[in-house]
Amino acid sequence: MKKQIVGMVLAGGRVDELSVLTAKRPKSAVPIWGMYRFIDFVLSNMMHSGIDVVGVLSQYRPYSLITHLAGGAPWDFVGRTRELKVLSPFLGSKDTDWYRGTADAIYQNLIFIEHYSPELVLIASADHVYAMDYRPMIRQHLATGADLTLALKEVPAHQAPMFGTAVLDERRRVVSYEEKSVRPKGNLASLTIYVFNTATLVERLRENAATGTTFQIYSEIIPRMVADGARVFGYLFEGYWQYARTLDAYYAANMDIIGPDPPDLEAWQVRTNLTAGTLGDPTPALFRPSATVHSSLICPGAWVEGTVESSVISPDVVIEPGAVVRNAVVMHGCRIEAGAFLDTVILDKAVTVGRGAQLGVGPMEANSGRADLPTAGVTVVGKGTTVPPGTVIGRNCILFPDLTEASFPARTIPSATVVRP
Amino acid sequence: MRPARDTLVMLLAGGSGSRLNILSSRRAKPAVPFGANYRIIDFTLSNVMHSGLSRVGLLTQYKPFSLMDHVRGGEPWDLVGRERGIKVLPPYTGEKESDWYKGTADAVWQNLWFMEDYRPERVLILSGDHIYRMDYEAMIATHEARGAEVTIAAMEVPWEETSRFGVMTCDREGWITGFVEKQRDAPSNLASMGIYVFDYGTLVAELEAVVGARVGYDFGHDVIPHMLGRRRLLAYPFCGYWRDVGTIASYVQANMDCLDPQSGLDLRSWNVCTNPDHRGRGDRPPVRVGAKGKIHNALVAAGCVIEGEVNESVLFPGVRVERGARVVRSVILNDCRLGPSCQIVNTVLDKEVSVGAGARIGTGRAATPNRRFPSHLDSGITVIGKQAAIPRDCRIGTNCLVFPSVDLGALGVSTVADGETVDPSEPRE
Repeated sequence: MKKQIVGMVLAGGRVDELSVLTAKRPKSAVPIWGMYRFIDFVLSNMMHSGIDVVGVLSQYRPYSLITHLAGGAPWDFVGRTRELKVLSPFLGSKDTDWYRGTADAIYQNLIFIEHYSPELVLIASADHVYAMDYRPMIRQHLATGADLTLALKEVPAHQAPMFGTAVLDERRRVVSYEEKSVRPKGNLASLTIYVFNTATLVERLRENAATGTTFQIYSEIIPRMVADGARVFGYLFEGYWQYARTLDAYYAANMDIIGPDPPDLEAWQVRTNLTAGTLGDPTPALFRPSATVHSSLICPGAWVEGTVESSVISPDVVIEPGAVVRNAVVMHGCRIEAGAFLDTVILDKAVTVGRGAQLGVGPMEANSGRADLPTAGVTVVGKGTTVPPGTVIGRNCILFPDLTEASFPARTIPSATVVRP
Repeated sequence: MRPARDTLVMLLAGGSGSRLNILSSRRAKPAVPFGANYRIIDFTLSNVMHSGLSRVGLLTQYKPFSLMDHVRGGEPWDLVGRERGIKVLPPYTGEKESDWYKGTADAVWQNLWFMEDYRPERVLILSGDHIYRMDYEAMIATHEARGAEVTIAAMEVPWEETSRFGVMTCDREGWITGFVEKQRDAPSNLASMGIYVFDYGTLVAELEAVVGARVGYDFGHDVIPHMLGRRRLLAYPFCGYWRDVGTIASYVQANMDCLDPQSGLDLRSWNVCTNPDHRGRGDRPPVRVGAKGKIHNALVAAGCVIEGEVNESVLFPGVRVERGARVVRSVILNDCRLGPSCQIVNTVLDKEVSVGAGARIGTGRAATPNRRFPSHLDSGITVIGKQAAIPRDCRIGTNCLVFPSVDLGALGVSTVADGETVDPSEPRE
């Protein structure tokens, strides 16, 4: 069957960026803004842009991702001419190979693309939060006769070294491209959204498979194309776009949705899968007479009897009477027992905070320079951990997943501490 | 025995629910929205799913479009698969005559061909009009264990309400000895819930004898009384929460029951499934509560934005409550817009109503029943129809009715007195 364009989603990657939040799932499956996961944004964008054949490249602990994707049904990728396929590493005839990089992952799955003989392939990361209609970008790509078009966004100069950056001429042709340069020539950051001519892509991937070292699109394919004089163009995007390379950034991205100028989720029309692995639908949010709530985002299935301020509350969270939840990101199925107090925390799914426990206590100061801890004051609790009643925990702490009462060394955990099993 | 698998469900969803007035003027009663997220039929369909039943005939008649749209292919209730399915059974034209369903028993009788396709051991007959949680599998197991030919779910109701129900008398072992339908001076307060388990052969024979012979067309009125003394009729007692939300007042009260699990209506443990109406869009985002928002005692669906105050109310998806607006003891359906500083008290707003800034609806004493529909609106509740527009600073009293799609501003109406109705098809007095 023939398609004009096929989408390839890079969802598999790095394991360690978000500490305990990515202990058991890839970043693309990490929840954000209460009821979404990172990958929902790219899939919703593709759906709304009319891309209906999508390959998801995944190799790091894909179980939670595959459960969430549910064959693509939530994004209407199911039908005789529509498809979402999870493309996991496989055994080849010569060797068994994990994906060596993003370029290698696409290369190993060219068969998926070639089945549809598309003119274009849109490759996008699943780790970013944004709403973008890809169609104007595709139109620009066709109008300029480009081999490759990169989506770019202007970022503050001090942030530019964290990105791949491009410099454009007046016709938006990329004249130079640098990956994470210490002193970049420009501040147009690559958003990891690429439109390739399929023929170019196939040719460049074949070449890279034979000669590459990092096997990454951003560090090998794109710089090489620009150096060779290929027709590489930039497409400028001006909307909200956020990523989360650190726990601090993840926390900040969550707070954006309850900030002064939040993204308009109603307009974004993001689709997600709320029912994976459950028998029922979440109930509407229930606010009991003792509830006090303001400046917050509250998901279906939440049961609120306590106080919630400036927080993001996921489905099926229970907040008991007298509990205070402030500046917090609370994921699915957490239970905040009576009289507990939370300030500036991230709770992964199914965390129980025992009666009267306090998390995020003490002065808001930087940690003592440890790279493995948050620096902005946020304390993070891993999935399934139970914080014993009455425990007092400081700031910039990390609590590992599945801790029980016996795992806690003391009733008072000072700031900048890691608690392991 | 595989009680659930060998039982075919016939779900009667044709009711018009006329006492719900404009809430059911464009949709069948089972399709009336309920509990912030659901429609009334979700409760029965979820019971079917949780009881392990998998073959359903859905009998429709009155305004079935929202209902069919909602039920679709039955995916939300896991009714899709090789051994599972839901089939919509509307009235049809036969060889001899074109016939609307003349009653509950007639509806089932006219679809004998559908039942013959499956030749089930038993047929479970349900209605889609009630809010309750029940395990039909246990009822079917009792039916089998006791050797009944028909088993009727029954619950005790207040004596003053018995005239609204079929009422039965039983012997000490639960066998039914008498059954009267909707009579004054009922002999008992044990009411039929309209839930029947029939042995298939018994059902076909009795329908043939009653409906086929044109003696009568209704289960409660005709078929069950006809069986008395000839068949083994068992009462199956039920004592949980069960409401026929057939009136405006009972509709509002049952919605309020969702706010307090002590009422017996516990949405969390009932695990009700529904078909979220996306209309081709994204999923509704989470509830956003603004800096000045206040919510106490409320059930709030996704997509709502609360900048004002909400108390003792049920809000369906996409409702926007602006700064200074107050909503008290009200049921607000999908996508209503409540303008700044408006007040909505003791009111039902159907979908997509817009209320202008400073308007007041439903405030004041409920002394005057609605003059046109005194039996529908006499408890003080005011009802505003779908897509009506209420202009800024408008005053609407108690027991009022504003018809769907009415634009009060365009009509030049700034006040609707207690008990009045605004219906553009009727000349105003």
